[in-house]
Amino acid sequence: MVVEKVLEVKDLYISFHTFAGEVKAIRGVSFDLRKGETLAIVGESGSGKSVTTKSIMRLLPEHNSEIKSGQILFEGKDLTKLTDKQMQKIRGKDISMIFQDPMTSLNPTMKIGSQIMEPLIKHQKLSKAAARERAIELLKLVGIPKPEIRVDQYPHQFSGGMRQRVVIAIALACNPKVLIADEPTTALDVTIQAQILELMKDLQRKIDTSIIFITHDLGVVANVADRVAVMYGGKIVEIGTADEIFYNPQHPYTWGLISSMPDMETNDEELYSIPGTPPDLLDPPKGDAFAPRNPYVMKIDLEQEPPFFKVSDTHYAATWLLHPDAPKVEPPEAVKRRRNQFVGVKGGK
Amino acid sequence: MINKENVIIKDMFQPAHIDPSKSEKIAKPSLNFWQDAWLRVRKNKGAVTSMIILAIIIIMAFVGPMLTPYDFDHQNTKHNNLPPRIQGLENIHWLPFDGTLTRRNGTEYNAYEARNIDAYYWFGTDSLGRDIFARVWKGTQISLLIAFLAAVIDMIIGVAYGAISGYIGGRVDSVMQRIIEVLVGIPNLIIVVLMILVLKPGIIPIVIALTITGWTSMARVVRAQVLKFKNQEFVLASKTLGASDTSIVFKHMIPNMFGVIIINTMFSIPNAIFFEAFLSFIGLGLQEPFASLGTLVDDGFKSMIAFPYQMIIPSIMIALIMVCFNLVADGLRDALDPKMRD
Amino acid sequence: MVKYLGQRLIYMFITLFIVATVTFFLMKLIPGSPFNNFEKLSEFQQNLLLEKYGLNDPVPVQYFKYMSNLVKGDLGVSFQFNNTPVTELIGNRIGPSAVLGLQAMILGSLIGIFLGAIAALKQNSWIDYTSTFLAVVGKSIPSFIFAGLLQYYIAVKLGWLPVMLWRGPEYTILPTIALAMFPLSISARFMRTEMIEVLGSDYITLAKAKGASYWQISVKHALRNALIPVVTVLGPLAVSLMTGSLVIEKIFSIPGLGEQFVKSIATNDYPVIMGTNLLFALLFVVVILVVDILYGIIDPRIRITGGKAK
Repeated sequence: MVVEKVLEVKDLYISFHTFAGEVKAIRGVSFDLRKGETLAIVGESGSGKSVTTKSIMRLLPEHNSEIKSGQILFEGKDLTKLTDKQMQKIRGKDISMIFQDPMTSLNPTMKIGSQIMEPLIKHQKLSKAAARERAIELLKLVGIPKPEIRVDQYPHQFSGGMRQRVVIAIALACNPKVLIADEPTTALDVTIQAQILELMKDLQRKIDTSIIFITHDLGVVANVADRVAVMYGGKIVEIGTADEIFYNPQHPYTWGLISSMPDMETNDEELYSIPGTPPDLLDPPKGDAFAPRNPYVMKIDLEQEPPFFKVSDTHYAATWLLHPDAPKVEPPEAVKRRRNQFVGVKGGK
Repeated sequence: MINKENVIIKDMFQPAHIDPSKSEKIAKPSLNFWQDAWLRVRKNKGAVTSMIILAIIIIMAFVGPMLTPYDFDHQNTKHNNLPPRIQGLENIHWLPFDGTLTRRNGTEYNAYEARNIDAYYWFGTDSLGRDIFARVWKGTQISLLIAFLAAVIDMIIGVAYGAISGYIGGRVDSVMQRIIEVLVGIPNLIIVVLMILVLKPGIIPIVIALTITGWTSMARVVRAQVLKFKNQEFVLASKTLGASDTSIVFKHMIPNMFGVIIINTMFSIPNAIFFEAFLSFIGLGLQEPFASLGTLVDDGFKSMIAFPYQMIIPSIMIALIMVCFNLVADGLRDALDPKMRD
Repeated sequence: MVKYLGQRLIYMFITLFIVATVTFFLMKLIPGSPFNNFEKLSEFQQNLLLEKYGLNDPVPVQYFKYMSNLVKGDLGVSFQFNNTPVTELIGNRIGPSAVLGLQAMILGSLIGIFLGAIAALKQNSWIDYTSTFLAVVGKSIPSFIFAGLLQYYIAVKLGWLPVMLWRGPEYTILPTIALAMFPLSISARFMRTEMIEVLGSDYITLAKAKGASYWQISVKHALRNALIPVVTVLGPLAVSLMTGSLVIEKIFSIPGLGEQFVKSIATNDYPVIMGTNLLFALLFVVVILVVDILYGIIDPRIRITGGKAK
């Protein structure tokens, strides 16, 4: 089966120039995004997931960030090479983005309607009246009651969940081919989270867009993702279909992430947390960046960076544990136990 | 997919031991508040340069008048309105220290030679023949004295008022805040002018006039800080340990506000210098023979066309002091304000 | 909003009442009579004048008279200018002061806002450094020092503009520049800080993500949001111009309120001092109120909910 690739990131290296020195935030990231799928990028803060997606949109601060090498291919064009003008034509039209905090991501002094109309007028060359009609339609689509009245209101008159719906409406205004959602539910209440996720899934089906979903919450991932990429220390350490990542994780970091998920059934047990702190990317360690926190660390982890080992056609993991010479290591109990719960979640899908 | 370039030996797949203490090491050496602040101020070239210039000016304010053979209040009408002339620099024509004046028709002449005077007045003399060099430094001394006094009094009243208002809270606080609101509602120009009219010009009356309204901004800042600290753990902790209210305020709260107090004081110094000069200008400044920078500029204006140096020299001095104090205050604010810390 | 305005108006009247009262009693405390300056007058003649102006009445009577006249809009008559009513004196003088103040305010704040916005958009460029330097200098150096230096170098030495007096538009240029430096630098500084903060906010990133152009982002999104807080400093700036205009008018011999005020201080002309004081206080409270209302109008967050300003 040949699946059309919408977006392809190839061996991307990004650095930030700070007072302390060069921070190597992204160190060789490659992945692709297929038509109509949802790819989740999971990792701790500082793992480079937001930087990766911001670089796709070219939204990194110009004065201190630099794409050292690599390509971001979208419809045959390398986004890293485009001029600002060319990039403006892609942003909001072909690729759009939803941000983490709906409380701050809307312009407080501009009417909701005008904010939705902006990309419509810019990209689809709609007249003001037509754009307004479309804005009302979009508000209805994202489930905002009385859109005819709401369209003339200001952001402070909306609740957090409602604002995120507006942000989604803005992002979807021009039926983008790629939607990047940067922790879109993190700042919201749990019940609102579920509603927003439901809305996104629903809209994805309607307009057939591909989604890159960034989160640190594996529970959300299980809900929405077709494929999952796990990032650590500026690299992807494991990538595979959602089922593969949850049922058959290979990287000890993925094990740690899964073990640290809250667990309804085993309340008596203390919640697991991965020991140690993320690596200092000013001076990335030699070998595997995860080694200092890895309970299964081997000598080679301290010497050489692990390459990707193939687990299946769709599943790769960068850990020396997959090397034929490595001792056989069983994933921790907590990971096994949670498998059964995922069966429940997935089954209900 | 395996990278063949690196040689992989079986032995390398043995479990490794990592010292857990290493992974928790702290990268930066820890600095206390003042060391950290000083490091930040030091990076600010403008602030450091200004500090040096201010130090020189303050020293000169005391030493300067002694460097010339002339007293600041000694009148010598035979030597009046002489332009600046400095030994050694008088031959460099483009410097304004060659003792020449310009006539109305544009021609230049050497005032010292024309009047057959063998003397060197470095900054020239005024209409009464007093040495401007001595007067400028004496004036700087008095302007700074007024400014420092006003700033310190503002600080004492402001800190006390703000701390009491914020710490006691409740009705006392709201009454005290209403008083401030009314005071702030009155333009301080009016208060200062009225006070000087009542008290008659002089150093102490000027200081009083300046402090009557000047303390309010400090009081507001301190009150806000006290309110912030009031419910923080270290204050609650010392309360449960039986510390008295005064010791909580003085030992725990005020040391934590040194930053904002200093910043506020640094901004009130140039403000006081400005108002002193302003009062001189509207005829409410110090009386003769005393001089402040404001009275010197005001005097200089009277003969600006014929003897511009009488106005320009003290003007430059005020400008220099004001710019330096503002740059230092800005630098301190950037360095001490915790909000600006990255 | 109405309730809030009502509250503000009550505060205004309390403030004005206090200013009037304090001014009155402080004037009474001032040693020396307004007629001491007239050396030709005999003691008898002085007494006659004191009687005529009611200055021999008991202080409470004088206070009551003054306050009731004040309510009627009567500020009394000048002691020095042949019984001219103070309101008339002020009326004659207010024109040049208003022209000068408005010109300086508009020129200063517009250029300042423009410079600040450019500096923020082109952070760490030469234009940023220049405007930051200009702002520090303009904020630090008193307007009368600028006035003196401008007057000497531009008018006296170069002869490009008139040295003093008030006889046409070209006479207003130097005093306006001298007076405008302060509002210019304060608004430039403030604008730069606000603009930098706004440019770093999430909604600007969202605007970029929508594909908005640099121009749209700077003007439509950033400028407006940065301008709102800048409005709050315009009030205090307008007030500071009153202070500045006193000396500027004196230096350039402009027949305005400030120059008259300075003269009346020199001649103990109490009614004029008191009247001008009250006018300043009135302007002060009105300007602050107007700025607060303006703030409410341009910030939708306050406009709709009718909440408290700030």
